[in-house]
Amino acid sequence: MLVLRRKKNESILIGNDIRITILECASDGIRIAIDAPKQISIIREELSQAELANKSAISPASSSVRSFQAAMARHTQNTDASMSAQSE
Amino acid sequence: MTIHTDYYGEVEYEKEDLVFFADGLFGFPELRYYLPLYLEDGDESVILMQSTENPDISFVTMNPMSFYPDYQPCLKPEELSILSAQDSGDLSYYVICVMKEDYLDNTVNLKCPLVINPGTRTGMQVILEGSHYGFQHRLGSFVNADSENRGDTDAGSTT
Repeated sequence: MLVLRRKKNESILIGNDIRITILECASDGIRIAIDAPKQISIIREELSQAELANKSAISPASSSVRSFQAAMARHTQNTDASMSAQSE
Repeated sequence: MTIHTDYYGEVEYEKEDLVFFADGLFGFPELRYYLPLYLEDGDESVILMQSTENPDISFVTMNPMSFYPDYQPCLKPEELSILSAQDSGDLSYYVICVMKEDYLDNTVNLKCPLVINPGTRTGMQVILEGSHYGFQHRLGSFVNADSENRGDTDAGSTT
């Protein structure tokens, strides 16, 4: 991995047509500007992770959902029971 | 209106029952209306978010307070403004759950809750920045009563 030090308003070039410029540095983050061809996809990494996370969660089998619900209901009852036991 | 669901068959609903996500959920920007379905009357810990625009798409969500009462998401001012809320505490939160064979192995995404204003029935999915919440926390790290680990360390996270 290449690590570079850049100051405000300095840029780096990636290939012939991508330019990344540092606009602002602050303690809570930096602002950067990216010039790149339209066909290059640029997204925040968390967004890509968030999309993947959602896609892995869609529409589980109804049987597993029902058993999950039943298990959580049992858990809630147990928790309520132990809490009332403590308060006595 | 009616929708066919895997879980209940035909379900009748009114437009007022829906929650509107102007930007959809991450990865599903075109699906903007979801019908929250309680799996069991009176139990609000597990809620199915059913898309009404695509019956094949639904998400199992959980009220994080039901297993992790210390969950304290903090939204950015622009997110609060989209949801017409003054404070993060005024909103309802639901976290998406990935189902595994053993329910204790289910994972919950604490980093990207669905945030809903119950008054306006509008919602958005957010990415909580700068938090220690991850995309995959094992449910067993919260609900196991014997566990010392309440999940607020990174032990249950694989981010």
